[in-house]
Amino acid sequence: MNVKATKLSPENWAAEHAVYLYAFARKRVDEDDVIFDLVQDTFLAALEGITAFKGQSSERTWLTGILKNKVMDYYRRKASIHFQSAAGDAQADFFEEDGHWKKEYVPKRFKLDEQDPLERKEFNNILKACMTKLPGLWHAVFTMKFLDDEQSAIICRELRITPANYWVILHRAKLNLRNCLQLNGI
Amino acid sequence: MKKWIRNAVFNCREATYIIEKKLEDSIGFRERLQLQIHFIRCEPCRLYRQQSGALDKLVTRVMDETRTAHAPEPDQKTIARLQYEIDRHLNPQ
Repeated sequence: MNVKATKLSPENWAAEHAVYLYAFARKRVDEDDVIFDLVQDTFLAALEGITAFKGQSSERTWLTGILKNKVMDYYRRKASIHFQSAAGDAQADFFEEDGHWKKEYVPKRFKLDEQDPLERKEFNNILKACMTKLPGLWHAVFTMKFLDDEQSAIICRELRITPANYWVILHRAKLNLRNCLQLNGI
Repeated sequence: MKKWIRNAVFNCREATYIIEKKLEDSIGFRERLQLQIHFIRCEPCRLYRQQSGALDKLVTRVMDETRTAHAPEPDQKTIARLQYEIDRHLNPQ
């Protein structure tokens, strides 16, 4: 069988793929200059690996795969920085020593679904603000889980954490997020 | 016997952990039973379960809205800058 291999044309990469790669990165990273760096690094890494390209996928699929790895590296770097700096407040314990809720953290009812568009917008803003307070690693887990719909096994592999760590991170993140919404009196 | 009972019953820390696990993974029969027993007498954790499940949906929705809301494309200058770097590496002096 003769399969036509894809040929690469780096002289058109920016014009052909920059918009697409930008959009891909923007979904996962919210700093503009970081996005530029990630896309640029992707092109340069692709040039270095150009001989390894077998032509079995499209040029865009191949570049997107490289970008995805760059985003993971970015998450890991960010996570390791935040892990130390945010250790204090983020470690606030919601439970007494015997494992029961501390009085100030006991879940209370608050509105979770808004029909009114205005109130819903306000709720979304509060939720977004609460999400940005999550430390780097938690943020990475959240982004992968909810945005990419990735399974926990893949997230663990990409972020180099154990399954037990994954559940602890997710548990803490959800406790924090829920509490943040309750505190902001919706 | 008493110790066995105490170990078989989740406290709230354990219960909420298992609730999170259950939201995306299967949990064993024993854990499910322990969780149900915990729910019988713990109203806050029942509420937590309800809120946590709803929260997953809301987070997904907010992330979807955020990504469609602002996705500024790189302008021509940025694209030219990217291509310039590529060309520089393609044809090193």
